[in-house]
Amino acid sequence: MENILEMIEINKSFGPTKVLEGINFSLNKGEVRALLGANGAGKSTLIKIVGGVHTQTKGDMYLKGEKVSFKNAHESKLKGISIIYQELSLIPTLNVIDNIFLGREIIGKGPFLDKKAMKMEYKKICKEFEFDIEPDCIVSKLSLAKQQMVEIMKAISYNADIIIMDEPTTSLTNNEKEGLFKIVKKLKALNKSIIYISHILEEIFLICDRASIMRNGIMVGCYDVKDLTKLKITELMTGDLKNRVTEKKDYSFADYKTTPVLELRNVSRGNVVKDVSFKVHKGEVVGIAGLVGSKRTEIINMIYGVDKKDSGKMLMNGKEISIKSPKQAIANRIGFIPEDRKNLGLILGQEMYKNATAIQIDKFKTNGFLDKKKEKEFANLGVEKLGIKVSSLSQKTKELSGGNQQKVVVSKWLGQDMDLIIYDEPTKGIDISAKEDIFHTVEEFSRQGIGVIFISSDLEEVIRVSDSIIIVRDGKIIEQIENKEVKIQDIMNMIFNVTTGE
Amino acid sequence: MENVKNKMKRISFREYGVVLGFIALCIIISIATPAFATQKNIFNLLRQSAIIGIISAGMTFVIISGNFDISVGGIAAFSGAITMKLITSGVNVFWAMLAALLICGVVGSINGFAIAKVKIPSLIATMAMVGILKGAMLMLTGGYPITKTIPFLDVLGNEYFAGIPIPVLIFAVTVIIANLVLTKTRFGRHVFSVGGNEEASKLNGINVDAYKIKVFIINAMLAALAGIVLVGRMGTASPAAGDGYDMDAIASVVIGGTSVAGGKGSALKTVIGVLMMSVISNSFNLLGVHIYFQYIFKGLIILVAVGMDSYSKKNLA
Repeated sequence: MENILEMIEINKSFGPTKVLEGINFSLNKGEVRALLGANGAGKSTLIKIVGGVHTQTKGDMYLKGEKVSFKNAHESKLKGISIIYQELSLIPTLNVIDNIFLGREIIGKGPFLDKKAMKMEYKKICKEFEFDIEPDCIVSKLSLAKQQMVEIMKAISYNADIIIMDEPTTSLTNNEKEGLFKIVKKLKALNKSIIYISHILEEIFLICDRASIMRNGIMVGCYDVKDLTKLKITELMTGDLKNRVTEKKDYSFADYKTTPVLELRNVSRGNVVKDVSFKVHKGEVVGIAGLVGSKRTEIINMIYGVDKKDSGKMLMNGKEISIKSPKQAIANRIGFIPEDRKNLGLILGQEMYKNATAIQIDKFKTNGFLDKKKEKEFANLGVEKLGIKVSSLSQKTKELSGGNQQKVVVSKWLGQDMDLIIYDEPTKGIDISAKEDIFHTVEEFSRQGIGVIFISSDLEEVIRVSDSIIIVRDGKIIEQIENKEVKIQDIMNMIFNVTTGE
Repeated sequence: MENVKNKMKRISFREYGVVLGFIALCIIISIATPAFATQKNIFNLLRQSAIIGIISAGMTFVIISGNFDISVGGIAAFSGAITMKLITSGVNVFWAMLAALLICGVVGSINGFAIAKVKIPSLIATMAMVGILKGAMLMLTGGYPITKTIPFLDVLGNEYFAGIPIPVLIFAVTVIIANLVLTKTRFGRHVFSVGGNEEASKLNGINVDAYKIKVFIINAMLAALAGIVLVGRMGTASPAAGDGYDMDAIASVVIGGTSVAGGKGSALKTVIGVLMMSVISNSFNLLGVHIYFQYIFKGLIILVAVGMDSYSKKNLA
């Protein structure tokens, strides 16, 4: 088989953080290759290098034997590489056909567009790949799944040699998935190469020839799909951790005798969160494990009043409450450390102390006016307790490192009267020592009898801090397990829907 | 099938709502004042519309690309002043007009550069340009109107061709070309694309900055053309000319259904917006409504037109 793409010893760092290390990857013509790995394994970074969005720090890339280095996404596209990202790159206000031909419209007489020719070509693609989408429909009026189809049509119409699909099935119904698989097979028959990223392992066995598996920024290897089982895949994704029971949680302040601080009973929201029930007790740390896109964040957004639930009950300390906004959530003694600290957790352009006092601002007034001295006193408490490294309390928050920024977010809740605090991916992009400090705050809060919900893609962390672990998949709670002798592999299997009998 | 039919109905109502509203307005006014539906009044109305209309055609490009230009009134006045100044200094009328168009094109490119490359929000960049133009204009004219009857300009502003006022013809030609460019050329398609989603446009290899600059140049040159027609009509270039044109042009474009969020709109429908604004002022004049109230009413119309667009977008999302 003829080789089309070859990547040799690719390294990629963002600042001091190494994301990819020594990646070797080669793709054949007419091959459907799965690219697998847990969250944060480096799949997205790798395909973004292929697609020209990122440039590798080290290493070479060859396309059809020719050395290439892309300056932007458009260059890579011109060389025959099409990526269908999860976040779509369509123009919502244009119609389907205009989107498909955007940037390479067919020009007919004089300066005028040849709409007929474009429609003909559109019809040809529709016929060949059995698409059925009105060419004149405005894209923003289409469902997400249909928009995804338009993206795929666009990639096909480019006549790309390599088509990369990044979790293409997440918004598709079963029927639409079947349609997609047909398209993939047809593309393969046309000798196109496909890189297919998905967390739904069944799909890999249906359509892929080989699977490349990544873990923590390294390439574990490339395997024939027929030699793999789902269990084998999760093992390879987990690596040598699989039999290790991670550093055990050595404290527990969970009080199971009193009324739980938070209880959800059959809570649902649309087709997103489905019949979720669980309890958080005083001082208990409940970990939530699930893939990105499993609707972990959507569940807690409901608790914190960002989204409204459609049905079900939410109780705090045994009393039913209804929370319609974050403001009400705070009034109901709930704290929240959001996943996106740069946009949702902090005002980056402001001084560190102003960020620290944002939630409890009313406590720092003298005669009705904000008192800088009191504010700084409080901010300093956070600096001391959490070891935040700042040159002064007035340093701009954007100048701090990721770990210190995250600590500022946590410090906002110090001394606040709370029954529950939610951590959503608190350790993303921060260094190890900052992580330890964050874990320490979890311990502190739970020592004070505050219930904690802890979400992380890093399963080791979840095992490390939680008293019990909830497994979430597709907006549903699959299982709640006590954190005793739990192995990462077990959780991985539940997340990926692998039964150990296989 | 039934579903599709319903959808078609809804879409077409939204599309043509403005047209229906316009027709309804005309009928009501014809009944309220018989002076409205006379040939003389209609011609007068169209002639009044022509100058704002030419500016609005350019403004349609700018707003579709997701920007605003509030310097069009200043540019129109500046262009008129340049033309008259050159002519009174002995320059041939055609060279004078060409110079005015080109200089204003440069003004537009400065607007575009400040917005696309320096990343200044378009409202602020063009607001600064208003000040610069005002100063330049006072320097040029010494603060006094330049009055002289130039035969060619007089024809341009006041004569008829085939029974139609020439400014109206210029307006019609401008709109037809603008509509062709927007709907039938790659350039037009990309203007929509840039306004619809800048990031995605870049991903498709579109040079977003270049499009923004070009759009501001087109807009400025059309405003300059309007300024020349205005001078022809009035026989004078006044430093105070063009006041309030920016608001009228923006109002016309948004009433015509072009989205202030960018990416959506039509030059033909802008014509409806232009006519709507003229019919409203015209009928207010006929009905004897005070000019002060007309300003308030125009402001309210902008709020309502933009409000409906923004609110429906928010609710859809």
